[in-house]
Amino acid sequence: MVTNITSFGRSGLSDWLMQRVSAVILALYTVFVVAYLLFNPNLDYYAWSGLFEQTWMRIFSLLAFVSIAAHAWIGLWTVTTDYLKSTRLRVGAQTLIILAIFVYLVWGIQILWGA
Amino acid sequence: MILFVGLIFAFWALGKSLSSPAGFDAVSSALANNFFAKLVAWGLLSALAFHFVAGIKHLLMDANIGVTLEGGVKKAQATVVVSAVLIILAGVWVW
Repeated sequence: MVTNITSFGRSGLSDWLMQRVSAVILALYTVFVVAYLLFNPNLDYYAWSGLFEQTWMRIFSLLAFVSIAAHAWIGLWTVTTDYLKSTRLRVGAQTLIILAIFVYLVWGIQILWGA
Repeated sequence: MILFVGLIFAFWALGKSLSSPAGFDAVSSALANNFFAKLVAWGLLSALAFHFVAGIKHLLMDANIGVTLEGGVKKAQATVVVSAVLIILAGVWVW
């Protein structure tokens, strides 16, 4: 058996499980943030930044950002392996995607702890 | 792909809104007054809503719920209908 070296976990079953775990985390985070914004229509900077100063919110957000990284990698890996038949093009696209994911992750950490 | 590229706007809005009171006002007034910003927000929420609902359909299939030809057709139809409702609601929220 040939192990695919560009997939997230180097195993289809591992990627399958990771995609579902990260999906549930992202669903919970999305529902929480949307509900928070809906229930606070007159939100100001102090309440909003106060929320993101809470340790639990930072951990929840970091968990969501890491989940985005894994979820996007696995999802876009699937798309690129399905549709980009040229190895050069596919590996190039996957490299760009992984670099972009890394940038998002650093950006997210900077937003949470940099301000 | 739309969601992955759209993350740029979401991270920008989050970072800007948390940077300072002026940054928060810039983001909230853009979302309140700027047509293009509303369109981007609605587009992102729409893509997210469809992805969310279709993802739940996948989790139902993983849990072996409704894995029949009839159930598959019903779930596919429900995904489109529920997504459409959420997309309209998202539009109402943004505007």
